[in-house]
Amino acid sequence: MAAAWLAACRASNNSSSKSPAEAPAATAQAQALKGLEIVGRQYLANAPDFSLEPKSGGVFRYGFNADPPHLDPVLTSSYAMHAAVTPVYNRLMRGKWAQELNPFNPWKVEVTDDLAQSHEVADPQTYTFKLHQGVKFHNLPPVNGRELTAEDVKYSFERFAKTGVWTESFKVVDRIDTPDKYTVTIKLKEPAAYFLTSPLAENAILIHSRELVEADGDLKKRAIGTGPFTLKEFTPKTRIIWEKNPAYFRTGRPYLDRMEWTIITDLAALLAAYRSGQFDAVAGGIQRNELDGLLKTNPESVVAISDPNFSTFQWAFRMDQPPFNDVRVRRAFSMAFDRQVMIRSGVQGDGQVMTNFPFNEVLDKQPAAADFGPWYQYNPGEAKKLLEAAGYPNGFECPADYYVYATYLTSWIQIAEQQLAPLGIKLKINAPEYTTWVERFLGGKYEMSALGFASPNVVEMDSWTYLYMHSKSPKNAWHINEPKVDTLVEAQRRELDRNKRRAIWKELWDMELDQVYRPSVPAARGIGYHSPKVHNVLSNQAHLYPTYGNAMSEIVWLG
Amino acid sequence: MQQYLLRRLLMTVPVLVGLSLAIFASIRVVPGDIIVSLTADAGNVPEEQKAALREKLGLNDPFVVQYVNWAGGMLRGDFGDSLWRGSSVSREIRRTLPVTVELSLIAFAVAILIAVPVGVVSAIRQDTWLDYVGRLFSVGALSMPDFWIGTMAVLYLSLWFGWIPPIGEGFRGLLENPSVNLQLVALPALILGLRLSASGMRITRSAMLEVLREDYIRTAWSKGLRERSVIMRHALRNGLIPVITVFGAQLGLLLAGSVVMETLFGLPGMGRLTLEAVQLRDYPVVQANVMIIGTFVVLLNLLVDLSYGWLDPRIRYR
Repeated sequence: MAAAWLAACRASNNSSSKSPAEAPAATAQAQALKGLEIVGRQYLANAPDFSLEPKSGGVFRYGFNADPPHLDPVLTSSYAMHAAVTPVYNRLMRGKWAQELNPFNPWKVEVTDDLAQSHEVADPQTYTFKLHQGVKFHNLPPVNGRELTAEDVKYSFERFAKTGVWTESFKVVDRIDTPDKYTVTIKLKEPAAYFLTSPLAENAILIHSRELVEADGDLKKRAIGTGPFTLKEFTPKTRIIWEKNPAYFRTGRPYLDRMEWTIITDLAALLAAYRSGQFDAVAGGIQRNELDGLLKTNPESVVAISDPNFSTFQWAFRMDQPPFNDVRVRRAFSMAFDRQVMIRSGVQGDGQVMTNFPFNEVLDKQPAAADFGPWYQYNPGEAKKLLEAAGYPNGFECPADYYVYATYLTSWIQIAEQQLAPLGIKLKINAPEYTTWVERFLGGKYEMSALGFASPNVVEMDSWTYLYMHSKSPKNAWHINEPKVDTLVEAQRRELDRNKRRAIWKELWDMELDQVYRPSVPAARGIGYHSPKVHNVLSNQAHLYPTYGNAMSEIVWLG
Repeated sequence: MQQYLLRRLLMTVPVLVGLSLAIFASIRVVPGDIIVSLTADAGNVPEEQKAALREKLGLNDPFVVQYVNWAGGMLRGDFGDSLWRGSSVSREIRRTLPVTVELSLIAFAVAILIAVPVGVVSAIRQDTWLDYVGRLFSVGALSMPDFWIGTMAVLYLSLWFGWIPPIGEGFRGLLENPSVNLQLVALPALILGLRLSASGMRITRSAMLEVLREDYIRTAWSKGLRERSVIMRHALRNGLIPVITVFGAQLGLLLAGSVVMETLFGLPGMGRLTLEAVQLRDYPVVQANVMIIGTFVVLLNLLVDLSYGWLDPRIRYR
């Protein structure tokens, strides 16, 4: 999970090591900082001043914990690849970042123009984009600093549509025209409310040149774009270095001269390196019980905690077969969990009860645990009755796969094992290695249940709904197969009125909580830290800086 | 001797063929393939597209066809391309092998420099405080896993001294930047060497104790030779035969790569490369790495066997 970079109301050194009985509610009110109001995050130490004027210069040193497989965003969606290439290219559209959202809301995705100077939606199926003029590719062969044109956008989108891992996202596109050098017109086969955000503003949908693809066969080895940085060096398993693009079309940016990322996959080593001053920031974050130690050795560190708006991890059931094809069994399973115990034990109180899609897209205020309905409340007595009514008075054996994405998941699945035991449900935990896990989980081939994972890099509700819930979606690892769900997720794709769309999402939310397709485990609050000389780092849903959102590096500065 | 050498070299051929078949088959038996890894993070990749990608990568070809293509390429020095990165496997190995060799050789040197003297002293001063200290050291080093020692070293160096090896620089080659290189490699090599020296010390002590009880050693003492002469000229060479056997095997293990030390200290070595390739099902990389390491081990064992004849003139090879 990406490190959380936060801002909050008052700098606080309140690093309590005691876990509350119930985790404190996220700060739903706007919080005033110098230069910015912020929702949903809190500084635990040394809140930055966002009113300062950015300074140019400096080398940002970051410890990164993943190794990009290669540099081609068409052929892989690995988050490490995102981090490596997003500073080098631009998108047609992008999510707003940092102070562009004021108040800053980490859960909000608002789309704005990137390479597009303006856009117009003439009708629900016709999008016209006017590009900035004079945008140049990096002055490197074979592109040699030539101007970006509409043809480059068309070429890039057609490449995404025909090959690689984004083809499904472009299936709605009927054709792309370039009536002049700086105009791109996209015609869709049907209205698509999500289109401007996903795929156009997805971090991986990067505009590239034909020349580079034709010279190398793909974009795996080199990255040459129009972005704020040029890729100076990529040595697998070792380092990534970018240098400032002096000809970047947004004058005055980027502020940094250079970024040097070192690839270290061990989190303890990253923390030790940060402590000894080798990095300005590192990936991975820390746990609450490490906070005192960090502030003792590095008291100047900026430390902040983020509040989640959804839960990345949830149970997946083989709903295509007994016993989980019976909603009573699913409800009983969910009611067996004391989620507050999970929060106290697994994440030292730094967690919240959440469900599978962002609450802020559906509700007007953050829900408390009680608001998730009866099936999300700890009630083993009622759970037992439901199991009996479903024909399982003595429970059943339940194989459960999981992968150690985070260490607290091991605690949680063991807690689940203990909490299910009084119901007679014997959880048989299986922790396969990564590729076996991915194949079993994403292919829906787990034996009976799995502690599943929904990628945090989701910028549009269409992905949360259609992608994960439609019965025919390749990403529906949860075996959700409900005609009404299909109807609703298809309808929200076409509904252009935001309020009506929201009403559909609310209906899906209610169905999710009632039918318990995917009971969530709690969402962990992330504690991130960095050197006080790093400024303008505000990770949000559109830019999980710096992994899925390293494009935001153009506004980061050192001072 | 030459006949022996030739016979041994010829014997490596079926060994390596068997190894190639074993690794080729075993990696394919494990569930999942590279397509799973490549598309795991993606939005939505339908099954037809995954199937087409499998076809394009030749993963649907019959086992024999895939094996023959790969083995033929290997004999020509072409290990193919990484399915994960798309770059040449040879290039990956050229980048990572020197790191592992450097780490291994330094660790090996540390191990020998500690194990042999400590083992010899422990043997010739049996049941004295010197012996007890030596044995305590070896038990301690064997009991503590290297990942624990490494993590503790990194943690407490940073906490107590505010310093750790310059992992923030990223790895630099020995010729590229000797200072950074040696600072990065020294600590993991020391940790690995210490662990290896523990078992080496025990073998050395045991072998020396046995040799010191031999009649020819008693004869040497009764002739009035000095202790140094008895130990270094008469006892040590004979005592080293089992020690070389053990160290030879351990060098082979070192060359397979120490994943833990490489991960902790950010060293881009063969251990990490192989582990990543296994996890991702990057078949060409796994196969190439195993074949290279296997060849090293086979040749190393041959060298170890040949060294017996040098150490003990009574051993002759025909």
